[in-house]
Amino acid sequence: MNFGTKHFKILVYAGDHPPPHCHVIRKGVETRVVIPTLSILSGPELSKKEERRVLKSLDAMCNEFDRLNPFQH
Amino acid sequence: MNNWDNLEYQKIKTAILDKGMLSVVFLNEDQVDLPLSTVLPIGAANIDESSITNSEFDISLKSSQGEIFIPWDKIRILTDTRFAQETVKKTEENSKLIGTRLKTLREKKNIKSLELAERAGVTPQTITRIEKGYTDVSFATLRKLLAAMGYNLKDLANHELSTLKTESVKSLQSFLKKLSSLGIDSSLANKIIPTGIKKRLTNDREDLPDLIQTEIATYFSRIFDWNLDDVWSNKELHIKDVPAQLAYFKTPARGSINQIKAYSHYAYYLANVVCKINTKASKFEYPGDIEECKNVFYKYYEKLTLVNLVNFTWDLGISVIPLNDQGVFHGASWNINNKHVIVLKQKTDSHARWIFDLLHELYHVFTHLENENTSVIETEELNPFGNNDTPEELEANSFASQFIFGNRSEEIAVAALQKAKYKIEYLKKSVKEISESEHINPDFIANYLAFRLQVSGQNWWGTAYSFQITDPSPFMITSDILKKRISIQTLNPIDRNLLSSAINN
Repeated sequence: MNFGTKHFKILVYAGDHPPPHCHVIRKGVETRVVIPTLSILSGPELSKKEERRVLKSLDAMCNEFDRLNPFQH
Repeated sequence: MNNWDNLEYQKIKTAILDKGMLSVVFLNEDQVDLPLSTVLPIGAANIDESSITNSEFDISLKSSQGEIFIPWDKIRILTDTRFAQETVKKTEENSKLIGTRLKTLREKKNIKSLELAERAGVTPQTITRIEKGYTDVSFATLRKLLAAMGYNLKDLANHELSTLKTESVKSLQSFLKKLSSLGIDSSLANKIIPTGIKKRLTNDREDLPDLIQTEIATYFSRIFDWNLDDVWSNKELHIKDVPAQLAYFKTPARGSINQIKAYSHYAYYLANVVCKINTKASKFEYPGDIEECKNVFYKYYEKLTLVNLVNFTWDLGISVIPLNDQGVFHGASWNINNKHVIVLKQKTDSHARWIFDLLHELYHVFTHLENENTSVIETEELNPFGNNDTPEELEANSFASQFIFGNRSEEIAVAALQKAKYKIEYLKKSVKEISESEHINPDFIANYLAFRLQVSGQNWWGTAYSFQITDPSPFMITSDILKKRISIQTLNPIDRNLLSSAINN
């Protein structure tokens, strides 16, 4: 599920592996960001503006993660 | 850069599905083959193999549940051991990070873990396990815990909290440094840390195991009245003023006020422990004046020796605790719930010095500690000619001198000096003669003279020391009497360890 936009995707996948994370895809690069701590798993650091955008969707993403990955915890 | 930070490692070039086998080629030309079933979400069914497409970072397929997406990292985890290991490591780190941040948020609001458990409707063990990073926690539980403290999930994303984590105290070395800044020097810390634990400690920078940390924290939190959780946290600790605040507190000429406060706390804790188990009724009433005191003493004890004076003090219902650590604290007396305790702290083995100090403290007990929960802390070495010229100290010195010399300390000192023709080389002989004629032990006279000469800048301590009775050690005498007078075995293991460590050399 995409919590971002067409050009700034914030994706949460069903059946994804731990730790809980989202995939932030923009300008041809991807950063995997742990939720809710926003630690980086791989990829370039987020800019402050990008981080704010992820933070804005954090609550909804966490809800969706629990729904899509009910067996992860 | 790690391999997995490389875009070509992440990006998918082609993905083909044939009879349930998924074959993926990445941009770096890695080709991996794996059964599709291993990467499908639980419950996915009726996959249309022909619908497979891929973007740069994921593969998509149509199923009866709708479109399914498989991200690149899910494929890599199943086909690259190093990447899988790295992911496991990151998962563990994340659990710890969440635990640390949650704990930091809790401590910021001074909420105890038990209280949080109660508020959030979880067990205290759950809080402990989450905070230690031992368990993964669902967002639903996290939300509940955060809400119980007035936070939300976004508060866990605060980077400042992770900075605090890196500064938290985990190694023995950094713990000792933290204690030292509070006035608890390493020798005192060593006395407090139980022997069983000490054997397992190394002075390296390694993180100490949790159970050792908890055990050490238990001892320090009891003595200094700290919250158990705060001892190893990055939270600032303070030595509270309580035992020192009650004191006739003489400003120390040297040393650190923090050290005195810290040591006073330690001694006060031991005094409380001993006080609690000294339940025997006193044999004598407190004397009304010095003559009565001497009469009672000499009625039951033939000579003024350390053994006799310590026993006399216990007979009065006053507990006596010996300590022999280095440092700026030089003894104390307390009235704890209307029971008196004297702490003697001397580095010297001179019986005469210990006797003088005990008599000095006895006077404080008789005269200055009538009120409940009061104390006198000695911040300087006791000395009949010392700088402690507060009225209480002068009176206590006078009491000790009068008990030993009658009212004739100065008269006897002058007689010794006259007999020596005021020549220091004859003083040793004259002290012996005066001691015999006055029936006063030569060590008392020698000490008085050494202190008196010290005022005028002369050091006669070498000769004075030759008169001293030092065997058996006064510390051991006082300690042995304490062990006979109270039953240390009845104490709980922590207090027993603390007291044993303090009174056993």
